Amino acid sequence: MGMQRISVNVNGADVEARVEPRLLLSDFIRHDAGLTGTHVGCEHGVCGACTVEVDGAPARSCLMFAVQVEGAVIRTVEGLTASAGPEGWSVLQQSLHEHHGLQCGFCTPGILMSLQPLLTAEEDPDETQIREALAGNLCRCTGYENIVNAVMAALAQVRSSRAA
Amino acid sequence: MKPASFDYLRVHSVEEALTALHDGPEDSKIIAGGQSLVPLLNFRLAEPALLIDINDLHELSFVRRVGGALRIGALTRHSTLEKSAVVRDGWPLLQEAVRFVAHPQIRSRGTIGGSVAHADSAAELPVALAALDAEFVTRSVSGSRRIPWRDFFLGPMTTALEPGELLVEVRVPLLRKSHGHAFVEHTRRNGDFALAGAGVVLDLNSDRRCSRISVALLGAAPTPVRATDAEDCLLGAVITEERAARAAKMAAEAGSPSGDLHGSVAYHRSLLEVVVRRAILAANLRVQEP
Amino acid sequence: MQDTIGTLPLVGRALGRIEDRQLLSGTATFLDDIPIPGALHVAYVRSNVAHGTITAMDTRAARELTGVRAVITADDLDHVPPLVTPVANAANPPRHLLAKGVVRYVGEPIVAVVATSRYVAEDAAALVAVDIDPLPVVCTLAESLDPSKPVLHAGAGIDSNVLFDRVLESGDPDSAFQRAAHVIERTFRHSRVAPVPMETRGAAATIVEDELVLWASSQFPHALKETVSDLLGVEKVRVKCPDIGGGFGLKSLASPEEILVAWAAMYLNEPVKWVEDRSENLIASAHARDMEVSVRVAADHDGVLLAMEVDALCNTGAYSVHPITHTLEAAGVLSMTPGPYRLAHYRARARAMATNTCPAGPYRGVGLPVATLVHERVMDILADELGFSAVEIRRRNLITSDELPYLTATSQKYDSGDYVASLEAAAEMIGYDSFPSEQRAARSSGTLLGLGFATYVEWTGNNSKLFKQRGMTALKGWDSCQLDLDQDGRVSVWTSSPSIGQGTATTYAQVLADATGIAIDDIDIVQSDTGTGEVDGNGTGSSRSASVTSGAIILAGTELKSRLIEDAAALLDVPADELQIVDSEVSEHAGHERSIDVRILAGKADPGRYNIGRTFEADDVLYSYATHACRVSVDSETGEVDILQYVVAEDCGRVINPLIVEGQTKGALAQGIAAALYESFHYDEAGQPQTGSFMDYLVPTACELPRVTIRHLEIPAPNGILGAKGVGEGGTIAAGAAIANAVSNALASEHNTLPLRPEVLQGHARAIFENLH
Repeated sequence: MGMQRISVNVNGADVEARVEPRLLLSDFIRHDAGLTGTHVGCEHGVCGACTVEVDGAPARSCLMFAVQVEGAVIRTVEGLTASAGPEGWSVLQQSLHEHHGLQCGFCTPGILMSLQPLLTAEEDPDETQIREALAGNLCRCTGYENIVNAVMAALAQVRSSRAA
Repeated sequence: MKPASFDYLRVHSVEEALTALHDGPEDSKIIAGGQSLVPLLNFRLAEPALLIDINDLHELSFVRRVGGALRIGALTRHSTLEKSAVVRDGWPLLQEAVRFVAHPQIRSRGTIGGSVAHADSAAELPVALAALDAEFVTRSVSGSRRIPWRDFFLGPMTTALEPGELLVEVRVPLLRKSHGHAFVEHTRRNGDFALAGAGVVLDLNSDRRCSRISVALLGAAPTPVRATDAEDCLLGAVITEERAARAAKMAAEAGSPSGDLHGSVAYHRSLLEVVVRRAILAANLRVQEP
Repeated sequence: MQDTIGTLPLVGRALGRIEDRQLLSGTATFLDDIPIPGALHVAYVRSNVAHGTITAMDTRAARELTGVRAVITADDLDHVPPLVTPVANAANPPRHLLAKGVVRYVGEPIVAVVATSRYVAEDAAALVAVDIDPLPVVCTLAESLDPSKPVLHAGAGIDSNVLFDRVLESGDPDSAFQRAAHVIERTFRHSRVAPVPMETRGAAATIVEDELVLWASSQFPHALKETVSDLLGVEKVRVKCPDIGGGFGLKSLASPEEILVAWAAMYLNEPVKWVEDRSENLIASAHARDMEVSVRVAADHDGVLLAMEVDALCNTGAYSVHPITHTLEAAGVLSMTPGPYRLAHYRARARAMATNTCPAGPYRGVGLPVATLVHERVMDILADELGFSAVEIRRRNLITSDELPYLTATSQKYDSGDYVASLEAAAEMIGYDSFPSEQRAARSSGTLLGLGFATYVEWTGNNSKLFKQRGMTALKGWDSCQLDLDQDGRVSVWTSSPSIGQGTATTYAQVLADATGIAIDDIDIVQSDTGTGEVDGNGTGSSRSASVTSGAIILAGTELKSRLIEDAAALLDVPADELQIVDSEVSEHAGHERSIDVRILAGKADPGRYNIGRTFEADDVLYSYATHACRVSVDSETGEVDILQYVVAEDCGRVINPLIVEGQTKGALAQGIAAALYESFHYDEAGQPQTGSFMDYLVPTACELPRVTIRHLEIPAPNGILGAKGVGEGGTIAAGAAIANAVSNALASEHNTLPLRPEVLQGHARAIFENLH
């Protein structure tokens, strides 16, 4: 099958590659771009481990093909870390650590990328809304409670720094 | 779980898409959001020869009010509908329904056209559109068609779209400003396809009698259907608890749900009754003072 | 430990986890992240028929596909003996790495395709044509007992589908039943579930000089190493673990798919890798808990248990799982169904049945979630029938702290704790006293509330003796560590139990820092690698790492500390008993006048002086326990259950890190709730899986799981080295029973089958209101 050339910005760097049309974006990010922080958990769009930002919105990278992101801007968990403060962690990363919101950590990058819009939204989500925002990411280790606590704490911190 | 090989064509205009559909191999497939198609490809349950990617057809991404009616471009993402002020103000049922579609990461990619054309019998948007008496605009190299929802959904994942035809727009007629609406569904987990669902739109006249109603059902048939018996039962009546319960019972009895791992036919039917009743009552409460 | 090293500045503190940094930043290395240049990829052709004879196979088209390097069938593996997992007094079916002649479940590997990418491997797999003549299918427990059905392993000389049939008897149950005032008989069922770690299984093999290096997402690297070595006849095998994305028991198996990766790498002399996809994981890795347990229970007028008779049937699937065995769940139910209750007269029979389904394997709690469902439902049924409260019936039967250690009818020696205290604590936490009036008030306004308890006791930190008793002769009861202090003053620690997500690196570092006085920041816990030092042992699983592996770390750490002090004493000319180590500095107790940094000692020492390995095995099994309690409401229209409140009063002995212990409890609980309300792996009559995707197999999301309140009783284990008992599985063990009890309470009817099906609950809920009107 014919290879296609793509050019895509991943975490601020331009990446050029020749890819088979059927190459999943998740495989492209992991194996072609070498960013293995994005994980693959089900390849049918349910578990959310592969979530990345495509042009600013979280999307399942297992449900897109690399050829489709020609010209797009992708951000992965590695990009999140690079853009964070002096500790190298975003508010949510720090909060997940403090609240023990991860165990095996396999689902964590997908959760981080899924929740970015929540952290920057105007609205002030309650616990139910936080749980709904999390529901597209399966975690088998934590039972979610500590993740929810971490998100709530991160939101409180974001809000107080906004107010300041 | 890797897809089989396919050719890929990214089109930049509707005309280009139509030509590709016309000239391409018989088993060409349009890919828009891909949120239903790509799982099928990954499981190798579908192996199209050519994928025609319409994500660059920005002309098909719009939500606008034209002469009082709502026009939604087929490439409009669920997340756009979710946030659209036009939809919220004029057709809030659609907004309520789209929030039941999977999860935010799916809604950021999935499109209304994809949901309609895929025609999964458990999908929310086709049911909401049935409640809203929507029609679908298609195009092909030989012209354009407007297909009422009733004539569009033919069976599970089967529609009236002909080979070479592309769904380009969804049209929803004007609703009274004061109308009441509700979309209620029952799932086992948040974001799952529903076991039963109902979309209700109704108007009341000045003595709070129901002057117009549509009750569309999810999980009552292989396609979206309207509960006409229930609608007849409510039309002209004051919607009390008892009346809603009676209409819901009629809707459930007229439906022909399937049993599955989650429960028998009777259980699914009972869920239909529950969601219909809850939707009627919720819609009734939401009617603004006529 | 307190006696040997004095204070414990870090043990007991809720330190943030060391392992989080890489996991949060996306720089962790899971199996599929390991850079292996030129690695070839495996895809398996799996049986799409539950039972049948392979009549023909055509692999030509697959072999001819560009990018395909090998298409491996059973014929290529003639020299490889089948896997046989020996259990005394049981039939032990052989398992070929690839199906040979007969397939016995949907998903059984038949052909392995090795190609330049997983995409091409799957293309080629799709081109392999396998003709299978279907045979009658044995899917359910009833079918496995039906003499008209085929015997799965007749070809191996096994003449029955009953692979294991053991009876255990103690006391005089017959006369106890005769004199009993009250006898109940019930059958309890637990549906089949799947462990579902978010990272699937996987292995990658390379040949480095003359050594086979096998990277594996494995809980039991040493067992895997020995299995590969024995089966493939390779002398030098090294198993290395990358970061592991959850295991829950599943990854303690040495599976055919992983062993075959090793074989293929040797055959091709090229690196080969297999990463299981989710479909394979759900259909063909290992399932668990498919069981039916019938009991007869005798009690006196006062609700005191007199005798119990148990008949347990376990659907063990098509093959044994190595090295855990096909008898693990049966043996677990056999031994642990008396639970935390005083019982003198007991007779139990447990059978493990072969069927044409995915093999049953170890999954968090192994046998105990079912044993607990049985004894806790029995308690509530007795309470209802005799007019006692759920708390009172348990008070009357729980073994009291005065009676410990207590030797049970099944030869378990429960060691320590206070079961009654855990019950009372849970009752208080859940608001038991005020519940009946709240329940009545709710019901009159149309809401069905229920409250349920579950108390259990659990074997943790299993030693060799217990594994032998459970029939798992291939399992080691010990674990070990090797530590090395380098010239920069950093201690590296290798252990036999890999970290699979439970935070063991942090736990071990806390323990070692306290045992040695080395600063915790100077400690590196290295992921398991069978090629390091003398490290050997069981691996991580069955709630053992915090107690057993920590034991080895304490022994090694204590030795390191004494060598450091001995060497410092000589250098500083101070008696050793006047020296301490704090924050990596050896100093005098009084005044810190003379001191020396461990770096300096490390620089001066002979090579190997501070390289120490130790092994630990508990003399006695450590028995953890807890009482769970929950409040639920049942939607009378849909039958859906909502958990309103969930509390746990647990005793895992000394809590090394409360953050981690509570994380384990909450996470384990989530899996227990999942099996109680959502998850169930289904087959149709033909043995075809019906729940092979996350669309159908309902792993709960954040919206389905409740908050949990936990209280620790923290009564140290008298026999453990640190007083810590295992905690990894407890949450899973009791959740099903607690929820079944709460729902039964809400609906005033018995619910003895998990998962609780909404349709069934809806029927009972409607009946309540119909009766009211």
